[in-house]
Amino acid sequence: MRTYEYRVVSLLLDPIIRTMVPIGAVARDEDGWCISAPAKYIPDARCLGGAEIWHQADYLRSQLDKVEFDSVPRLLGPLVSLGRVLVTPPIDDPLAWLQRLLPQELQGRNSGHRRMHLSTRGYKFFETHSVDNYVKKRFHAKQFWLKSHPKLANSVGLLDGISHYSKGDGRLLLMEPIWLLRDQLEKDLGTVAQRFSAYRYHLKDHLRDSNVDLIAYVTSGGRPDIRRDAIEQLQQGGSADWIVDTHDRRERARFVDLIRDVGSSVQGMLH
Amino acid sequence: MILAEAIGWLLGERVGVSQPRAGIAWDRYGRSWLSEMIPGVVHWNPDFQDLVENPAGIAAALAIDAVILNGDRHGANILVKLGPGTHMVYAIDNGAARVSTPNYFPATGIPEVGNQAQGMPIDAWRPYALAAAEQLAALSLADVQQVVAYGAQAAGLELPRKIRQAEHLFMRCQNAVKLAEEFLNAVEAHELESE
Repeated sequence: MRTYEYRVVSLLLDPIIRTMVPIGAVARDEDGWCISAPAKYIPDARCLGGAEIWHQADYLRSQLDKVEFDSVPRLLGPLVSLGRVLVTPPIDDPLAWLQRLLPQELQGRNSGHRRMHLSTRGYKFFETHSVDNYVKKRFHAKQFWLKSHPKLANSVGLLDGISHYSKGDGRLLLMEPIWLLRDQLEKDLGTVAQRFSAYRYHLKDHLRDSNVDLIAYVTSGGRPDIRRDAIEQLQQGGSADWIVDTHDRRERARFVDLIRDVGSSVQGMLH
Repeated sequence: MILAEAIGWLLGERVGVSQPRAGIAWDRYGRSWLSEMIPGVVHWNPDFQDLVENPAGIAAALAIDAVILNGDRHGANILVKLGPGTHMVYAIDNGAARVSTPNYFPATGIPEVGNQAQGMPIDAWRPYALAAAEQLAALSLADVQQVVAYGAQAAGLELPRKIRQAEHLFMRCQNAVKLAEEFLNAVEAHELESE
């Protein structure tokens, strides 16, 4: 057990009367090793002065790993402040200790804020890059192949839907978004790998001459190391034909061009 | 520089830049440029690149930057009001634009590149920026002179000293589409180099 110096990190809600809400804490040991502990709970928007303040606090909490023990990076803005330096008692787990110190959610209550659905988040990418007119939501394998490949349609009846698709003249793009900020990221990665594997298995048997691309696209947001790990994990799974990192400008441009090429090859018609 | 702030803001109003309302305060120490406070904002972060609710409003600010020679559109000068899904984005601070300094405000050339916010999706915003540039190109000399006159008034300056700005600003507005295109290309190329 050892002691740590720590500081509470707060968002200044009102610069005039200096009301603040804690969004986390940072601690360091005697060797200078630093850890950050985001608060598990942020009070309801009505306590903070509005939904926009709640989203601001929630976002800043997600950026807490950028706060150093002695300074707050400029990009987090002037409203994030570090409290005075305090010392913990001798403890084993500074992260757990700090999180117990920070505001706790009352049992049975939540903040009432819902995050965007994964599929909606993914579709924002297509809207931003003005290719949403070439992309449809929710691919149903059975319905899609019912007329052209009834045998395949029968065998894929139990397959999951795919979030987004774009159909061109002889080419089909099946696309699943990955959003690194989701709490269930690990589960999402597993689901996409499994889903693509199942499609790959069925398409191999029934559509040897087809041109179907299974594409996982990683949307913007999230720490670079988590992004790298997620992409590696998908690559190791080997079920996606292409894992697009939309944070990478060149890759993003290739992806957008592909959708535009495929989508426009049928002159705007998806079926 | 209040003149640069005011000219940038007034042009921004003409072409639909998403920007906070503004005002001027003065006391015995001088004048200050004021921006309306927008609650719940954070600075720009590349994480937001495909969650912008008002791409036209922020892209138009890049066209203004190209015209008034503002090379200071860094992440702290783009405010993001977070929503549950998409976010409203606002441009602030034209104070470093060279439009306020007659000797350093040529009729041609683009702003310095290198200090712009990282991760702006220029490819997606380009059509909006060019549409705003077309609106700038449609301004008459009288429109531009009026913008400079109001800007000078806000800054407490004598108008005749600022005539050269109006002439050059008008020429730059006429070339706004070309300038915006060059500027966006340069920002994009710089970011690609630094990746």
